[in-house]
Amino acid sequence: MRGQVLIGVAALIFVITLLLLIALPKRTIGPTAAIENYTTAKREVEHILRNTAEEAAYATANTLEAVLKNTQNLPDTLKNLYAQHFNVLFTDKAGAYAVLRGVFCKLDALDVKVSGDNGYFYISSIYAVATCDNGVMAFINSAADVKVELKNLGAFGGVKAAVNLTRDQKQIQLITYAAALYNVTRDNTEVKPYRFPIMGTFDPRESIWYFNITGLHYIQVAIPPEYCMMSNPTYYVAIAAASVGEGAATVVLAKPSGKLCGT
Amino acid sequence: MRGQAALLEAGLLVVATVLTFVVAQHLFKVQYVQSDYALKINAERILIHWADTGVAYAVAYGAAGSGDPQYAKAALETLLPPNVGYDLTVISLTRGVIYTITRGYDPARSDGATLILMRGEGRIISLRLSR
Repeated sequence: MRGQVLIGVAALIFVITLLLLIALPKRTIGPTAAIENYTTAKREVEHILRNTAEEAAYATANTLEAVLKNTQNLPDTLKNLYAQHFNVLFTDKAGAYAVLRGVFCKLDALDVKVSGDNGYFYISSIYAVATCDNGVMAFINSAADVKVELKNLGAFGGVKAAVNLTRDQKQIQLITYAAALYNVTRDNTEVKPYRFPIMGTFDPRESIWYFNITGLHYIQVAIPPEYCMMSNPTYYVAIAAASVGEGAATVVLAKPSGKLCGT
Repeated sequence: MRGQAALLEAGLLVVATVLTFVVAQHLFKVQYVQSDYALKINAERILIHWADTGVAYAVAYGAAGSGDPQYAKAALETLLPPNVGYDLTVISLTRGVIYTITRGYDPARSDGATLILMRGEGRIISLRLSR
């Protein structure tokens, strides 16, 4: 009787061990690269935020036709449009990331600031925080400083924007940019913004690459005669500039106040 | 008769214990060998370094959007000694595998890591190392 109990106990231990070993996930036994796993997860979420910030700038510049119908309080409109694009793009990317990694991330905070001077304004700071259900928290904090100069180049009008992008006070050396002109005409009561591409396309894949070791980027665009000859300009010059994977970006909108070319 | 039964019981008990031990050892061994800690950690650190320095974007996207295998090869081979094999695959989330580069790679003795970048349509960089 005693022997049977012993055999029974041994058999039970054997079966439980087998079941546990089969049921346990394979890679939980043995050491795991815990610190590296966490760092990778954090970097991935950080880069989702960075890419979102950059692509939102291009998306904003690409959809200005919609907001230029109403030119009241344009700096606020630009800020809201950027925030909307940021939210949409982040949700999209976080969704794809959740499918791949099984980790759900949400945008916890987004603060966008717009600054400007006489005749132009631009997105000057982006701060965003994301948290995920695996405990990862990531943020981006980037800024842009822009000075726009308008010049008479004779046959053409010239717009020269000195763009300085920073992330955590570190200057960005490699940027991509694109520029277009939006002419807002009025046909009786209907407002018709019209886009005239100047340089590149408002798409990170088709924009222009620009590396400068100093971090100061001069983006110079020429305004064609049919627009620069206007003595009472109805057009805006839009420039989108963004880093590559650093999370810094800006959209500049400039409106000349007079004739930019000719005598 | 009673002595024989006790002997049989004791024998069965020994067999069951030894079997449990052997099977457990075998399963632990299989699970342990499947993951090469050093290779996995190296692959993860290389990918983290690439993400921090921006090399990941050059490797996964390049200037034209289809990655830069030559750059990736140079970037990897400056970090890995010649006796370590590698398989680097860049996958687009919409277009599938963009390119693969390998050197002396043995899948049976490998481990690795992946990094996901969500610029544009998104990329997975899979780096596996073997020795």
